[in-house]
Amino acid sequence: MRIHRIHKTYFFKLLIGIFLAFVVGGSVIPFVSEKPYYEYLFLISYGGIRLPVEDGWAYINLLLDSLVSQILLIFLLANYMSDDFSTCSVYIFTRSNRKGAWFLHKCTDLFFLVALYYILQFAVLIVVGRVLGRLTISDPAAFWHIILSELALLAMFSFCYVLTVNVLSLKMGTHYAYLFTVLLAVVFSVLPMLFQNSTAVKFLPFSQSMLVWHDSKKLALYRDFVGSCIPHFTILFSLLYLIVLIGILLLIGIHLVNNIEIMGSERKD
Amino acid sequence: MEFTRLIRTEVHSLLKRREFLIVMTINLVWMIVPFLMDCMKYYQTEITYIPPANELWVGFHNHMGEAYYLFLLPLLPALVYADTHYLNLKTGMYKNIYSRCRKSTYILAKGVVILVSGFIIVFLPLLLNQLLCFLIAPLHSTRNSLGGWPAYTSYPTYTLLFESLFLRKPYLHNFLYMAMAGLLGSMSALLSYAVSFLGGQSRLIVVATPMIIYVVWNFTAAFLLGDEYSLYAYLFGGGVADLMPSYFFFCMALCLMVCLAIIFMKGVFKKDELHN
Repeated sequence: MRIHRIHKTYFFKLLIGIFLAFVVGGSVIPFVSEKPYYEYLFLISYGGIRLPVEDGWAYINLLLDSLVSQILLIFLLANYMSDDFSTCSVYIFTRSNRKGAWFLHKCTDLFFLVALYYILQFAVLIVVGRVLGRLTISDPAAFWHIILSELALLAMFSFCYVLTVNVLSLKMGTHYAYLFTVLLAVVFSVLPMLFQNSTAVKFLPFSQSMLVWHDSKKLALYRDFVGSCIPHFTILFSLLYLIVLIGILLLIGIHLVNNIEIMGSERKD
Repeated sequence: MEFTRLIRTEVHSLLKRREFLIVMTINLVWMIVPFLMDCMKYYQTEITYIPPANELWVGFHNHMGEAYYLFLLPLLPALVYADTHYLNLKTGMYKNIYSRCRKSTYILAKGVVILVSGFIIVFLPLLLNQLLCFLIAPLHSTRNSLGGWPAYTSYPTYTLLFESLFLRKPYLHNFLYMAMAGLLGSMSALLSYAVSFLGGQSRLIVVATPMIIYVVWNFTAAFLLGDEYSLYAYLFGGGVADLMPSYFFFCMALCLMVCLAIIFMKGVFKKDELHN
């Protein structure tokens, strides 16, 4: 049902992300040649970078590795709500005054698209790993733990950005919303460098998407490969943190949509 | 005469534009914050331990500077004025303009102003940061003057793009890097302007296309080809080994040619409904 509701162009747009997965997979395969297992491939590709982040080039890799994918996703989905709102809001809301319900429907569609973006990239990474590196799974339990944790953390964290840009685009226009969200993403990515020797790192939004920084028993076997972790920084903590963050954004979005003037919302861009 | 008059009009509307003020403010804040952080870091530090002002500059080796060069540099210049042609087309304002002046002159005048605005919006904040660094850091650090070079440090200078210039004229070296960043800003704004001639897209695409191309190219080059093929590596004063200056300027020239080709083919030489 939901798939029918989403415009097909967004599915095609998300396919651009596959290109990034090819690039990441192709460049990472040589690093896992000694340990040819998918767990290592996924940890190094989407798990984040080693702690402590002291080297300047490690930081630049962090920016490239994690932010490029997110900024592309924000760009691809920035118009999702504003397109609909600016073209047919008058027709929708003169027939139904449940703007909040419309907003929540849009949010579920967006979350589905964000998750799909990463699922497609993960699928490509599996194919690249198999074809280029002849990779296999060493421990199925650890493999699924890594895959599902990475997917949940990345999808939820990226969804926060996508939700922000869409909510702001209803208020200030897509180009300003995009600028603001990119600024937010860049500032969030700089903060771990400024607080790198402090326990405050685990409370930063950006840290929630870094799987290898989490304190997990399932990752203990891979610590020599992915570096140390932040003590007591669990995946459950990050999931709760992101759920609260998304909840706050949803409340702000519903409040904003309920109070928005639909007659003056025709396309400005 | 018409060209000069149009340039004056465009500059006037650029300076009055809200986007110009917002982007300039963001840029200035982004350059002042690292300065304030350096102020806190070096407060009450003995003068001999403070690096020279040229190395304290945000474009030399600074995390906020790196984030700026990686993501914001191509986005901000494109937001300043490059989307005005798209807005003119979208609102129908172009009919009023084209009936009062020659279309080709207008397009070229706007292109020149966009090119210059892209340069200024990047260059001036970087220059401001360097000037601010003079307030808290010595021109030549005594810590680093033992080797006889004004800018000598333990920094591995062999990785620098213009090593000789860095060693002899460190501030001219930084000035050159500011100009290179400004050049990339100009190209980003011009590319955004060129995209607005392709028609049918949203304002977001016009504004964000240079950034997406830049970011994806840097990503691809860094992971598959090597850091020396990523454009951002040419913008940090800190340097990366094996850089080729000709590569950077070739990319800029290629971008300029592509933009001019689009502007001439889709703008200057294309007949519109007013042409008779």
